[in-house]
Amino acid sequence: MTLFLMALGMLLTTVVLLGIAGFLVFAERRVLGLLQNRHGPNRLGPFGIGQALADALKLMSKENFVPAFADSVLYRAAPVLVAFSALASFAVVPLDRGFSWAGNWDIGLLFILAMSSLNAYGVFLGGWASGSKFALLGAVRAVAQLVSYELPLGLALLAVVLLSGSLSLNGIVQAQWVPYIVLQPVGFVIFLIAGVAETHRLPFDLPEAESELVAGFNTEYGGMRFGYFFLGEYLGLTLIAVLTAALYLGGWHGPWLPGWIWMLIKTFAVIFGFFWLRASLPRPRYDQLMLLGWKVLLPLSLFNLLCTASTAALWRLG
Amino acid sequence: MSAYRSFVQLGLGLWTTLRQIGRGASTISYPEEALKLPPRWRGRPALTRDPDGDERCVACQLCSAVCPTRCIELQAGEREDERRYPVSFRINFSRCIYCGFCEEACPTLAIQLLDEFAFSTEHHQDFIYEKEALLIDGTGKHPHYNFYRHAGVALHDKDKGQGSNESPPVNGRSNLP
Amino acid sequence: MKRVFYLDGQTVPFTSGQNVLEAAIAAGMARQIPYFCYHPALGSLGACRQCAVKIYPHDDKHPPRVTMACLLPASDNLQLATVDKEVHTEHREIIELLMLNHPLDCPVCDEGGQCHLQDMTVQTGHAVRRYSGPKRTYHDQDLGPLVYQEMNRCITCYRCVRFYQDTAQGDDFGVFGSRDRVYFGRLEDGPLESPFSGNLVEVCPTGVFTDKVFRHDYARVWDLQQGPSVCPHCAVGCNTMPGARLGTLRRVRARHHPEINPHFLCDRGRYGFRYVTAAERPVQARLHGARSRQDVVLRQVAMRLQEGRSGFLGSPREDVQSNLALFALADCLHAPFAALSSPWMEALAQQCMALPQAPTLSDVETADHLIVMGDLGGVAPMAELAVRQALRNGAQLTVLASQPTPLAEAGDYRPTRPSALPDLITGLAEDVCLQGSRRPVILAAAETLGPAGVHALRKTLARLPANARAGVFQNSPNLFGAAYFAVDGHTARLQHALRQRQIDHLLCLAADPLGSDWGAGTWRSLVPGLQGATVLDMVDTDTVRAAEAVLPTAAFPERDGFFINYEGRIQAFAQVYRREAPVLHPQENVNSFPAAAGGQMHPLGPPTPQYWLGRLAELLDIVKPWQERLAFYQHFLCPISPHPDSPGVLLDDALRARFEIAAAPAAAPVGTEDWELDLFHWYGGETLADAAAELQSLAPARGLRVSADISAPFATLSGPCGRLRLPVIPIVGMVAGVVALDQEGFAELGLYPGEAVQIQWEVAS
Repeated sequence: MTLFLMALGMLLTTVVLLGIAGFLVFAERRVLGLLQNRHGPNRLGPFGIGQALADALKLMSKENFVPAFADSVLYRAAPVLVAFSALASFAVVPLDRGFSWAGNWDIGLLFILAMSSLNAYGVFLGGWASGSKFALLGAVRAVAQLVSYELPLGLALLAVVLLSGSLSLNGIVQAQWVPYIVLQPVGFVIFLIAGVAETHRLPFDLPEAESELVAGFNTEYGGMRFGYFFLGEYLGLTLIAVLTAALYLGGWHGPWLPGWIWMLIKTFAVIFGFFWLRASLPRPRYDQLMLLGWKVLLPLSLFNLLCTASTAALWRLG
Repeated sequence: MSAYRSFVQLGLGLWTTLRQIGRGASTISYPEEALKLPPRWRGRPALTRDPDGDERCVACQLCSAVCPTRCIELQAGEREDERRYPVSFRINFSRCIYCGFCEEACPTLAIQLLDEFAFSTEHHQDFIYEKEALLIDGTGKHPHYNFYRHAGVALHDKDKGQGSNESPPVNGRSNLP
Repeated sequence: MKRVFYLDGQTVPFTSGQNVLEAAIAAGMARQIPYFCYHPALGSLGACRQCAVKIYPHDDKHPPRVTMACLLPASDNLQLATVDKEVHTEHREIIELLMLNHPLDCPVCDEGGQCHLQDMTVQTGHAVRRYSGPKRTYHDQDLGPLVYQEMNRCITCYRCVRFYQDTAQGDDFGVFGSRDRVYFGRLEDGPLESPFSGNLVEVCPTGVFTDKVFRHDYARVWDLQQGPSVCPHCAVGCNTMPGARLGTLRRVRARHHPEINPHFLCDRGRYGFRYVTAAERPVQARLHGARSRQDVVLRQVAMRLQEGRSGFLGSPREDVQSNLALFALADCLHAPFAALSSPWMEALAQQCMALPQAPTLSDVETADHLIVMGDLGGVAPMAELAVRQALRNGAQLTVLASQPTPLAEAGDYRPTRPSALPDLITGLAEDVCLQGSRRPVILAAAETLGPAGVHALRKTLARLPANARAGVFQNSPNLFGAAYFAVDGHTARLQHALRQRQIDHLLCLAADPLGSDWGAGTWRSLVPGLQGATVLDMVDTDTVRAAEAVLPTAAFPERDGFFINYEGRIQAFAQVYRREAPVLHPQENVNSFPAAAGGQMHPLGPPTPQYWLGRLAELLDIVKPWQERLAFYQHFLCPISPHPDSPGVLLDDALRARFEIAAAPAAAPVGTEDWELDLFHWYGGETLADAAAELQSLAPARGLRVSADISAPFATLSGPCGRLRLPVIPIVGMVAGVVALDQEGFAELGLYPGEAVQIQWEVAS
């Protein structure tokens, strides 16, 4: 009985998360319209909200096509891997005090990093299995980008772990007597930038760069397989936003309102920030991206870690 | 220092987009909302008539020669009074790009551009407009111009020497000084 | 050493005798010197004052001065400039003066796009008429169905008169009036009489004379599809440039051939092309007179051929390839084949082939002693034009003919009975005058001479000095090509087989044995044995109308091929356009738009004879042997295929020698009291050109031409194959005892030129 309820709950979580991802696709276009003096999708339903459903239906009703030159097994597996790794990460994310699947898991953060590495596999396999030069170039870029930004991301998180003394997200949130953005302003910025790069969203969408690579690693994908990649991207976006809320913005802490509402508000504020970035900033060159990752963010995050660690050590000593 | 400037620039960029919230859309929902066209808007070509009501086109083929998309096709013919006219005049509006070269090339001011520019049909062939569809009942932007009053050729109601700025026909047999 | 002078610092090569303008145009520098009255064929006049250049003398005494390039003989190291203020002023102001009275009717002027005046005006930069006074106008004349006049556009360059009166030696067109009222036209309205009147259109640098036939179905010259072609209307083989648009042929212009027609074209060549667009032209396959599908007709014809009772008849009107293809098919089926419609014509063709190398028309122009026999101008007008150029150069001309032809009026006319020609020709060998001249040339109308006459001509040439040349002309474009197959007795065998009922079906390639071909009378008498004929043709003839099956063929501008002209020159013509259904009237073609407007394609026009014959070979299952034979005969008879844009290749003498036969053809004896027949040929008359309506509206009345002392209104002629009643047309200056008849009349009577005929004169009531 418990198992059945758990399964039901997991299904529900998945459905809700997929729903949020679908909604974000629509919301992003509306927000971009708002920021760029245009309408955005406004045809279907009130405010055009039916557009998300229509897009989903369209993707689902398309032919499941495997190109003749593709490696068919890997080609089929890659989108599933991407969507799965993004979904699985949410297991350790708490929405409120005690409102999570594995928020107390004491390797929560490590699990998230592991899943995001798995995500890189999905992207690379997809690009490689497509058998197309655009897809391969996109995949190579994606892997290089993920490797480059995973480092500063991890180092920024390490500083948070140092401060909180916990690897479980519940522990970190509970440890925040003040939102860590106050204690870790540099770490916050590094995490945000690396997070955008991890989810390869604009302005760091070089693996997909449609002006150069058609659609990068998912060039050869269509229908629901493309839909998985798409969902994966928006789930990743949500994950980074919810992590930001949990790690730097005090999680469910907040006056008057219930904790999960604070969590949602903070998450969506961060998501809006991502949309805003997309609406404003142009895409850098590939070498600029690498330069930022290795020559700016990595030393900065190391420095940040050093400062945090020494301060913490001094604090303990003192 | 440059990092600082970069952050300022980034911030300015973000502020610029953020400011747009609430300003409303500068695009319009085109098919539902009509475009406000400027008065001299140049859309599709039409064939005008001269002040006497005759078609102005003399089938000189300059428009079809100048047309960059080669969408104009006509065949010259002759009326009983030896006045040139287009037996057929077709414009393929699925090719026309409204560049207006035909209007500039037209020596008789027959081709003038209307404000119509949006076409939709169910069949590709319906984009091909025949002369009957292109001719309009009016002189367009040049109400008084009549090519044949200036050209030297004779017509049913105009003999040689009766055009504007022409002297009466000379006697080609005379040997008088 | 190459001789050069300098124009604007660039070297311009020249040959002695050239003037500066001529050399500059030849060097591709025409853009620097605008000109009007100069024409390569008409020479310099210095009337328009347009071609100014500045000449810098080599000494210090004389200042540089402006002079006319067309009147300045080119000499070594001449220093000339056009990039000069004075020269520019001259160019600009002369154009401005010429344009003073020019009407601004370019949009309705047919010359627009090919107008020399337009080009020169744009080139010199004149754009605005500063003088605001009224423009001079003229009344126009009706110059007949071929040439349209619009005198207002005239810039008085005199090119038209120089061509018409000097080059073509016509006398019904000239220049009238004085001061600025100079008028170019006829004394009174009426059609131009010269067979070369159409050249006015090409000679005129602006739109005074335009093509009236083109005018009715006009297209701008930039829209025309043009390509190299060869005139199919007579044996001269002038090079032409047909122009087509939207799948219909619109006009024909002269194409430069240095030795045949450098600049001009006769009216038959220029306006005869309307056979292509004639309403009666067969364009769909027919079976028993009704339109039918191609494959149905082909199957029917193949069935007839399978019976093995078919004869094959080629034609000198078709090109080499088609005759070869027909010959190869006949060979595969072991069926009788003939390329010419009568034994007389066969003998004539062989005699023509056996003649030594004929002079080119440019050779004729430089001849100093000419003997012309028969109505040369009627058969091959361009040959007449060449003779007239020789006359202008001071040649001596003797005309031996029974009728006072236009050429006879220009030379020494010696009225001659056709039957007397062979003897006269033999006598020429002893002619002191002929032997004494440097470049004597003998030209003749082939049919008037007959086989016996041509044979005598060959014998005479052998006895004359080597510089004497002779050419005989006929009005079919490919007599030599057909003469390949004119082995002695082929036609007679074919007719014999038909008479003996060994065959009952005839496959005719552009032949008209039941109409106006030579010997048609004999064929008509054989009709009872004929169970039906199949005709491949591009014009509507009597045979086409009577045929059981008709397979329409492409006209010559619609396909590739070779003709062999009177001098044995193989000339190629190229496909100029693809025939499509006419789209002039939109209401007739509601659902079909021309490809130019993005519409669908039209049904294609008739295919070539080779296509039809190939399909027949396919149905008869003999494609392979047919192709092998075709390749073999082609290798043997036409080993060289010249390019359509080349001047052509002369037939090998060795090849021609193979066709030489020793036997002298016997001419029918004619008594001095007998009425003798001669050929009357109108310059526009030819099987294809007969379908050109505009040209034929000028045709003279049909009748029997006799000397003026006969007063009977009608005469009835009787020959071996039929009787013919014709009105009598008295001609002053015609030889007594000779009657001139058109080719159709000969065909009906079954007689040939130079033969006696029974005539019954009707007494005037």
